[in-house]
This record gives sequence, C-alpha cells and structure tokens, in this order.
Amino acid sequence: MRADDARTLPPRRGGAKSFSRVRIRNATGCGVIEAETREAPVSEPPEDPPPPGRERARARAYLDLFERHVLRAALGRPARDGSVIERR
Amino acid sequence: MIPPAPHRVGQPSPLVFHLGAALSAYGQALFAAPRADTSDFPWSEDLAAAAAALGPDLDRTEIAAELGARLAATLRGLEAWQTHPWRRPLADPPEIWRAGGARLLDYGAAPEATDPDGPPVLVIPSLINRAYILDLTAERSMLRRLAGRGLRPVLLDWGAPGRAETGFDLDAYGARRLLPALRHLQTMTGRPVSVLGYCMGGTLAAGLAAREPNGVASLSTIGAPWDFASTDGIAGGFRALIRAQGPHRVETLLDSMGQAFGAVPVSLFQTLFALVNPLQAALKFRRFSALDPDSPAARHFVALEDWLADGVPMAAPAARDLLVDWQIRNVTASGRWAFLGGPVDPSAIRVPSLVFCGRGDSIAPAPLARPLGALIPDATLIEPVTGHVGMIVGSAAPAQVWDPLAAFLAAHAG
Repeated sequence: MRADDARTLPPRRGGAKSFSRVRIRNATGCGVIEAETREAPVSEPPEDPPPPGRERARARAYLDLFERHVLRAALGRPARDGSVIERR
Repeated sequence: MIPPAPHRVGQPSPLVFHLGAALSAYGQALFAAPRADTSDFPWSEDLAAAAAALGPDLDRTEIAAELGARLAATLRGLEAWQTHPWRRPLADPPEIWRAGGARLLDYGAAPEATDPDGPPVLVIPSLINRAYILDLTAERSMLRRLAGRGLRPVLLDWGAPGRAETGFDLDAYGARRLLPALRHLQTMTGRPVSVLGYCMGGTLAAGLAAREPNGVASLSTIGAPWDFASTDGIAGGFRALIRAQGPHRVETLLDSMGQAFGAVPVSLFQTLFALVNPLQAALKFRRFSALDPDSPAARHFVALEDWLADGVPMAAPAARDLLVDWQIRNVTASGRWAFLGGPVDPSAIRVPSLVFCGRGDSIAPAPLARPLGALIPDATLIEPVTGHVGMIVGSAAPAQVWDPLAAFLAAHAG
C-alpha cells in the first residue's frame, strides 16, 4: 500500500498544518480507503523560551572559561593564592 | 589613517604565527563545545564546577559569532598598537665601557641618581631581549628607582652580536664580556660590586658569583631559571619531547640557522614564546583594544610591546647552550655547567643572595627558578605575585621587587 495523494487538504490557517481527509489507494489500485485524519497538533510556543541573548551569554561564559583553561595549562598551573611568600 | 610605526610593521613577530596560534586554539574551543559541561573535557579542577554549570547543548553558532567578535577586537587592538603615536623618550645614561657590541651604561649619572658614587651594582640582562626593559619608561624604570635610592646601577647592555661575537657561546660571553665588565667596574669604583641578573642574566650572574667571587658584594637574581627538569606546562612538554627524541637534531637546526643568517633569528625565540602561551597575543591585544589610547595603561602597553618586538638575534653557539645544554640537558642543575673555567655550584656561593621567583612567571616558572634560591646557602627567596616581565615593569614591581631589592643591595653594599 502506498499513499499517493491527498487531495482534500484544507487551506492553511495561521501556520498550523492540518488536513482532515486522506485517500489511500492500495498497491493493486483497486481499493480506496478514505480516512478522516486527526487534526494535526498545532505548534505552541515553548512555555519558557530562552531570553534574547541568553545563548550568546553562555557562549561568552564558555569562551571565558576556555581562555582561562588554556592559560593555566600553558603555565603549568601556577599557585593561585594571592600571598607574597618570603623565606630564607 | 595613521600609518603603522616602521618598527611595528609585521609585529609581533612572527605575526602570522601569533594569529594562527590564536585561531587554532579558538578552533579547538569550538570543537570541544559539545563536551564543555562534561568530565570528558580536561578542565582544571577549579574551573570544572563553572564549566558544569554552563549546561548542555551550547549553541555553536553563537560561539562562532562570539569568537569572531573576539578576534575582531584583537585585530583592532593590534592596529591600535601599530599606529599608536607613543615613542620611548628616554635617553641612555653615559657609556663607561665597551667591548665588541657590549657596553656599560652608568645609571649613577642618570638625572634620578642621588649618589653618583653610591654602591655599584652590575646589572646583567638576558641575551635574548634588549637590555632597556630595566629602564623602560620614566615611570617604570627599575634602574632609575635603584639610582634614586643611592645605589649606582651599571647596566651591561649586551647589544646585538656583531662580527666579534658571532662565534660566542655562553662561556665566551662570560669570559670576554661579563667578567671584564665586572673587573672594569671594580677597578673604576675601587669597591666590591653587587651583581644583579634578570632572566638568563640571573643565571649568568649566579655563575659569576660562584666562579669569580672576589670583589662581589652580593648576588640578586630575578626570574632566573636553574633547574629545567620540570615537564609542567607546554614548555615542559616540549622539553620532554625533545629529550625523548634526542637533542642533536635541535643542535643541528641551530647551527644551520647560524650558518644561514649569521645568528639565530629573533623570530625563533618569539615563536617559542608564542608556542608556550598560544592565546597570549590574542588576549593582550583584545584587552588593549578596550583601553583609552591616551591613558597611562595604554602607553605602558605600547612601551612593553615595542620592547617585546625589539628582540635581538643570538650567536648560534650561545643559543645552543641556552636551548639545548640548559633547557634539554639541564646541565645547570646537574652540576655540568662549565662557566668561567669550571663547573658552577650554587652551594659554593658565599655572598649574601636574594632570589626573586614570580608566581605567574611563564618563562622561568617556579619549578625552574626556585631551586636556585634553595641551593644558594642562606639565600632569601621572594615570590612576588606577578609574571616574568611583570617583576620588572608590572604594577606590582615597585612594591614587591624594586623596593625589597634596593633595601637588600643597600644592606649588603661593599
């Protein structure tokens, strides 16, 4: 069986793509099945969309970390505390 | 449009390498992004928590856009430096001795000096870079600060190797330039002379104090490497790699360079510095792009970059000593460094000694520099929180290096 056409597509409304009827013909071409389809789910915007620039902020944070990481690796990870040691 | 200053064209040398190193490192950042919040990426321990907090699925398009912005800022900073109007205004103090390309400059005669006949200090810089890092600007001049404290610093400016020095190894520099300069200063002043060395000049100063202690009042070193056994960091990794491969190929390469160019070119050393810190140029020029060009910070940046870009070639035998005998064979720490007629043993140094080892030093990091302070009997070790060049001209230098150094030199003057 193959789907060969869908002739009863309703006009698109607001970007939600749905159709209500599909005619499917079997491989011998002798049977026609008409079926009512369910209404396709309408896309809804996510409940919590990323705020503008959030991904760029994550990218910046990542690159800041990466730069610090490379510097540490290059230097062989020197001491990190801020004291001045003096000893004999 | 202001044209670039001639001495900054194509700088920092080799420019294409610095930019390529940055592009390569940033490309790796893009490649590693999918693993950023996982333990698959080898974050250092103190960065791992912040990396995990980044969360999954970083947007690589946004990372690429941010990388583009950062590289654009780097290029703006690079152009701002190349076209900056500042030029180093300082004049050299009087020359009091010369041999071949080397000369002694008497900072006891500088306008800032308070006692032209003060205790003499022979100051020994590196052979790789110009000596004037020790007198960079009026505001950041270690030598003028010491002169203002009643001392008489006398700078040994090695100069560029000329016909006389082309075949010099480090021992020849010691015997035919350093030791005669010391003797001249001792004779001229009639006093014991303190010796102070920076970078590899500090290592040479230690060799001088160990082998020729007569008339030496004290020894001070700043960022002087001694023990090259460490395999930490990228530089340590290269040392380990070349040790495993055998150093003779590097010796052959350096000899070939000497034959081709008359000396080992500056760009070789600049490339090595860039190799051990591949993002350094990108980060510093990006930071510079955000500075007010007329600010003191911007002028200091320009002064420092001009000095970095103003390197000198090195006589091939001396380069072989530095890059192979010191760095790879570690002759210094293994007691096999022959200098001024015999092996150098820091434990035989008897003069008062002060060793500075910068905590952020990437050229002579603590594992390389600290052992010298441990070997010299009763040496004082100070570890400033700054880097190799920062110990000489950084904002922390006056308080953490210059002033304790001046106090030490005054206390142990001859």
